[in-house]
Amino acid sequence: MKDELDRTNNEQEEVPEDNQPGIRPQSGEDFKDVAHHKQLGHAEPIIKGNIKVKHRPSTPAIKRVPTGIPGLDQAIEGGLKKNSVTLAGGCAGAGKSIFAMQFLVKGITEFDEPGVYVSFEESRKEVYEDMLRFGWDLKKLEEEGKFEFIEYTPEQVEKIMKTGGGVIRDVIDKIGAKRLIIDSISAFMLLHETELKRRESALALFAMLRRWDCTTLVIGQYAQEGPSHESSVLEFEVDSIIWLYNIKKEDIRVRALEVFKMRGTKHTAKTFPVQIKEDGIVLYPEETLF
Amino acid sequence: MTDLDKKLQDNDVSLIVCGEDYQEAIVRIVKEAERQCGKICYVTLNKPYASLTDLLRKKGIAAERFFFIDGISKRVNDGNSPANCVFVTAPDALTELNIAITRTIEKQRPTILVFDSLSTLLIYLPTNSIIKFTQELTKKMKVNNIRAIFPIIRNKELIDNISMFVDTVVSRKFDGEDEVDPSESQNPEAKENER
Repeated sequence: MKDELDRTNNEQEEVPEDNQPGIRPQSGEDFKDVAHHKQLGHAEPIIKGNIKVKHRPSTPAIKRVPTGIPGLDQAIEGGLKKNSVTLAGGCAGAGKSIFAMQFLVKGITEFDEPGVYVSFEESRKEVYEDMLRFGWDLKKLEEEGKFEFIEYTPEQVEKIMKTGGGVIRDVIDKIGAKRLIIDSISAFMLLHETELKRRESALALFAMLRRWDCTTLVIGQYAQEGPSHESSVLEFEVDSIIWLYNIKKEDIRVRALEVFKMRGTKHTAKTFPVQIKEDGIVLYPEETLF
Repeated sequence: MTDLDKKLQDNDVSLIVCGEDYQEAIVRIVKEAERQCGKICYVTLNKPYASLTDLLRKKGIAAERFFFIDGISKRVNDGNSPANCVFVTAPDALTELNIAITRTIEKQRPTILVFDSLSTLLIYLPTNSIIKFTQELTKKMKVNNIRAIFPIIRNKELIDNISMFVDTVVSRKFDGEDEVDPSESQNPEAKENER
């Protein structure tokens, strides 16, 4: 009984018996009857005197990291779970890199969370130039010690993984990064020919990412317009999947976003429109896709 | 006040069915919209912004209280865009158009919306898409307390399907007289006003 009283991870609501609907003392009933509470579905109740305690298992507060992307946080209970790994997947032109970089830049400018961008394919020069059109001066953020851009080939990252993270880990520690982007996991997976090897390699990478105290976005390039019915190892291993679409309708392309999966989060089930504007991506979770 | 004017004044969402006199009807609708107080959001899929403002000026209608959403000019919104106009990529870019209307409602707070015209969308899109879009749009108008006027060219399928979302259907004869069938009015309050 004392252990139960000391237990701090459960909410307990003391409800005077008069106010407790559906639970009315019957004549001669023993208020301290634990079996009675168990029958009602109350787990391990604590009885204090004559007051019946309604025992409700509580949800530990989930720490969330706001993405800062307009329209997204309201659709995912305020943000991504802290230190989670999210797959941002989609086909070419869907806006994945912009989405990921915006998550990083907003983290720095609005939430004081430094970030690291690991690129397997695009060069620093290309990325810095492209992102400048949104008003994101990555060079300046780098000079301020809040952002680092790391260019690696997938082979180099495999080697780094064998040393527990090496240079990437050092950079994260140096700037105190809290947000990390891997662009793209598809390039990394191509290192291996067999599905088994890809799975092993991905598992090892995710295990390493989870040790780094960073909320991570992993970009995935896909040819098809949506998550496949045969889920890949990636889709099982990540905590969340956000899918970006670039849908062709007659002679018009429409961008959209779907929160396909997000562990521990009550997220919208709707696919909603996305626009790329002068200052980045804007989502419209209240609007309809036509 | 004609029956058309009264219907536009009394009802929140009106479908105006026109024939060959479509252009005259538009001018009449715009004049009535201007006469009622407030800001007017004019969605044009037929005339480009420049031609439309020119026409309004010639008809003695001041464009100051109008905000335009132009889906026909195929221009991009840049630093040279007029202050009272936003451009949508194409007439059939319904998602973009819908978002542009929402943003206009938030920023400009119009009291009346004129949508010129659902009939134009038939060139680009199947009827089902237009019906879905109209349902979404009329819902948005009602939630935001905005009067909406939809002038269209006579089309039975369009009228049959859209009439369930509007408060009244006004059918214009070729000679310009308005033929208003009270039984076409969907709004019980409007029916009450008629008694």
